[in-house]
Amino acid sequence: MLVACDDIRFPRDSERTLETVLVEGEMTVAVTDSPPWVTFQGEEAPKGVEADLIRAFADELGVVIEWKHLGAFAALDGLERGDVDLAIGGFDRKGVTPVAGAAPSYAYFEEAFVIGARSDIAAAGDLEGQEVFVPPALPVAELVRGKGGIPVEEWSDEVGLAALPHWLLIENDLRSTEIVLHRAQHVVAVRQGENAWLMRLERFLRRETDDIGARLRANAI
Amino acid sequence: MSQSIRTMPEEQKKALHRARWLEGIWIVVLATIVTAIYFAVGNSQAMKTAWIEDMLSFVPPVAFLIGSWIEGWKPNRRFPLGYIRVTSIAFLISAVALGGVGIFLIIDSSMALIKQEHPTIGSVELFGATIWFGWVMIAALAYSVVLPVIFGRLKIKPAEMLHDKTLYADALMNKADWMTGLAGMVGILGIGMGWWWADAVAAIIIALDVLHDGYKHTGAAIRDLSDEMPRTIDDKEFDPLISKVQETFDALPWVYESRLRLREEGRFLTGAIYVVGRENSVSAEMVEAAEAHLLDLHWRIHDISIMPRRKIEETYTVDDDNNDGPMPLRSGAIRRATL
Repeated sequence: MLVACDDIRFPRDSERTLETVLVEGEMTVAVTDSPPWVTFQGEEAPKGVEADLIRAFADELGVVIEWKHLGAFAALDGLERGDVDLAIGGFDRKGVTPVAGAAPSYAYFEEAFVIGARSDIAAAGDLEGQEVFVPPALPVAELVRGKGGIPVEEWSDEVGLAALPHWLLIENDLRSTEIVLHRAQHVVAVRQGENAWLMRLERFLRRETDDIGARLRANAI
Repeated sequence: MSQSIRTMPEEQKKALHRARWLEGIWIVVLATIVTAIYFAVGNSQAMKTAWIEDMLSFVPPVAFLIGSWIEGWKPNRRFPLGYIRVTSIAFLISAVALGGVGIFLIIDSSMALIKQEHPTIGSVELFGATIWFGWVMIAALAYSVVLPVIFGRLKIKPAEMLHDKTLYADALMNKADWMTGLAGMVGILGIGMGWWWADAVAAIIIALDVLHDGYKHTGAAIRDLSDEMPRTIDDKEFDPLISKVQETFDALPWVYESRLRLREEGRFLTGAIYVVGRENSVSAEMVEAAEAHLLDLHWRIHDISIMPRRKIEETYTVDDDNNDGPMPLRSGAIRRATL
């Protein structure tokens, strides 16, 4: 508790989020369904890499979590109104920065959506006219088409290329090609101006997020 | 013999050489400052404002270097009076740039205040330690205040010796730069204290300083280009050279009555003297000798024309509502009624 107080001293929050959370022993977390980062069924506690991270953060602070299931917009909006202390849901830095009232943490994980090739396939310079497997849950079919590829939904033997996040490459015996479809900088969103709260969260994230790739793979299975 | 930047006394030539070196080095130093601030801007309005102010600080040294180069060009058919006025123009450009950006920054910072943007500053990992990014910002600001103050002090002397207003304004701005750096630091510390408004307020203070400089120097530059009688470099009083020229001329034995008008063209003074000679017999030899005598008074006196007259009218405007009538006259000039 002494350490916690020391942390509060500088920088401080303009709306006292950290103090309030510690005093009340509870933090409100908005979650947006976004596998594999956050998933939930009905009213049960959310699962996923970010849900686990935040649970560990709450344990460290010694507080309980009140989960709020919201859409991405409502989650960030809740931050501005102060109803929510943090929001998770696979947020990309670029999505959070323009929202007035919300602020992104540092990007604790950089994800690249790449084209992976089977090891027996010669390196593809571009996708022009090639069939590319796109997992149904992954919204990158348009990007594949934009590069001239033909998205298919079946991972059959005739298909040599697949679009997927970089952390799934080794798992699936694929090697990376030079083609990057999209990069995402994953962040946790907090209320803007709550600098003590953000510092506390970032200290935690910097310690605990070295193995995000492994966690993602474990979650994907 | 007419003076120019090429024929200044040795002392002034040395000062010019020194000033060019100072401004050259300063531009390099400023580039490092601008880079340091750029990487530390983060979400702070005050940092953004300080950065733009530092970017603006490039204008006066560049204006000085270009101006003092063009100034040395020889007069030609197209520009028979030479290019000595280019320094005044450089000064005006610097001043207007300053004022315009000042207004922009005040509006921009006020918007941040009105929209109640709470600046968010997170952490950064430095040499294995997680520290608040605000400290990095403060370090960058601290770096940005020390050197300008030193350079500002170094530039004052050559500016005075060369009577160079661009250089002088630049030196004063540099000297005052520690205040904007301090305002920025207070703003960042304010954010750390949880006072979200501190940052925007600090930014507005910095912007007001920029606007103030711009306003002051724009006024001085416009007055120079409007042929105001020469002023001292700090713009506090009329240049003592005016009375020196007047007294020296009036002391000539053949001068009965005279009227002097001078203007500043860059660092130089030019003008005319209307004179009524004793016994109405002023020869070309006397005029030439007197002109040479006046130019020898000081290196800044560049060109004075002596114009003999039969008499000098006290009033020189013509009261006539008729549009075709004679226009108001400059002092000492004669215009025949155009009736």
